[in-house]
Amino acid sequence: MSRRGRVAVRWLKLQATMMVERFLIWYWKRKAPVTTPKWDWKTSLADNVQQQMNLVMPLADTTAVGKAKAVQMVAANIDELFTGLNNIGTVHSARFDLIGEYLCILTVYDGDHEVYIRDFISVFGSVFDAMIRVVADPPPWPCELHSAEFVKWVSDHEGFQIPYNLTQMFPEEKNLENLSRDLILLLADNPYVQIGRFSGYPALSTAQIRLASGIEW
Amino acid sequence: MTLGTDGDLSKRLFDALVADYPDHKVGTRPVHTVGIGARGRFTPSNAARMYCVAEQFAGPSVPVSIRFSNGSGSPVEHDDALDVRGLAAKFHLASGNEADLIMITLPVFFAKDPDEFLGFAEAGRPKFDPLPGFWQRLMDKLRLRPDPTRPDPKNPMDGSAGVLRYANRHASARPGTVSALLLVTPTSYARATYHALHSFKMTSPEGIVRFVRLSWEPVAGVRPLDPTATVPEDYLHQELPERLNREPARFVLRMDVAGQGDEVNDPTQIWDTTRLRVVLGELVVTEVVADQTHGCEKLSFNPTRVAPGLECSDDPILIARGKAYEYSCTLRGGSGCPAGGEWR
Repeated sequence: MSRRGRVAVRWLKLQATMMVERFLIWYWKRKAPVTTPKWDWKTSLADNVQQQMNLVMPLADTTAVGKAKAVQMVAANIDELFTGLNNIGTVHSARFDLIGEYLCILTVYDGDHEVYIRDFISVFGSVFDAMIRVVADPPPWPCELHSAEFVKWVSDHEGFQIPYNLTQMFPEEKNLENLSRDLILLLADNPYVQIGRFSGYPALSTAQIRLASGIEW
Repeated sequence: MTLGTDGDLSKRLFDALVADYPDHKVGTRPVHTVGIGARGRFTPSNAARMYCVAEQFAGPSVPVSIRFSNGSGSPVEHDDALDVRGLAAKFHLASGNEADLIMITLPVFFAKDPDEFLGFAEAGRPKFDPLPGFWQRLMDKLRLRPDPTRPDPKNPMDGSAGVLRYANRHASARPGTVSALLLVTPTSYARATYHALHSFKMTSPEGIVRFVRLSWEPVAGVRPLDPTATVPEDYLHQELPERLNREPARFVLRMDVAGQGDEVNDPTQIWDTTRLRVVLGELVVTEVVADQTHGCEKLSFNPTRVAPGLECSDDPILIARGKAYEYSCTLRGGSGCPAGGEWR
């Protein structure tokens, strides 16, 4: 068989496999649905290591025109963002990325997750208001007046960590052979996940340097 | 099941392990039978002294006897088998005392008390479980289950199917069983991470008590063997002296400090990965001991032989292991194994 023929056969096999898999996922979602206590995997009781927030937001307009609007929106608010991130003081890094059809905010910070989101609202809530105008499923705005809804919306759009040992994610599963199916069903309903996470030691945050050195900037 | 006296329990634990390995040789360890002895030095970090008053952390450094091992209780060496590996370390302290740390490549255990462990060991008796037939495999595919693991052709009788059935009936065995399924075969004893499984009670100079879990992390990094590679059955034994002739193997002793809500007396529980981590020091393994009989096979270790300042938690498995190791040591004429040593 020619190379093109082999590629075509492989493509056909993949399409057939995916079609069967989609049907099985549809069937098992009804037959044996899984519940995801995903919030448990985003929060940490400890305050000893760096935390991560991976906010993944689908763009409303997924064409290059829509993406250009998102780029311009971030650029137009860069002063407010940087000043706000400095003022929060517990942020080690923050990235605003376009990945495929998603606008992503990927940050590393110290401290409690909800306090962190509320800090975001208070220091640059207006930037979030601009940002959520370009996403597909925005929460009510202005976010300062709908902070509880905003916190929940962020939680729903965050790439949560799937634990390495799946028994932690599915403690009720009584048959270990079903864990892989549970994972498949979880991924079918949760497009934003983190499949590897390393939390380093807390580095010096802006707030700590200010406190120690008395230097303001 | 009701357990009898300590001595009775130790014998039953020992016998349960031996029964899982039909070719077990009398006079050898019931598990981790094949090993290689080495020596080196442990140097504590500055931070270690802030967290723990145990003598091995006082500095400057202490000599250490080390035994690397494969988890199997068979006397036949299969370094290429998918197996747990062990790193047992004996700290020879300046005071003349000794303290042990026993770690394996599993992060969590299969049982939370001796009763459960006996059940688990019984479930792991080797049996011939044929591969599922075509219809069963098709049903598994339709159930979105993974392909069955093919038995090791060198060891077609194993207890993995029984363990899986046991874990399906006993929730506390599940995390350890899943961890065992994720095991990899290392390229070297010096390229694997080892975990102490149990929590230990650590006391600081200020009298602050913390519960901690300890791990050895290889400075060279973890490196699994290519699953398609063909290697000699004793390649780990061959590799270690060659490696140490070139350069020492280094491990960092890391501790995770228990946080709010962490279960400290249950070795089946996984802790959050965001706990406070502290490096307690570095182990430098310098040479393989020439006398493998006395420097390895007769040398015994005990997980409860700990120094004041780093003491056992109330983990029932840890306590039972201490006595079972003592029993096993006596049976095979080993040395240096009393649970708790002279501190007990």
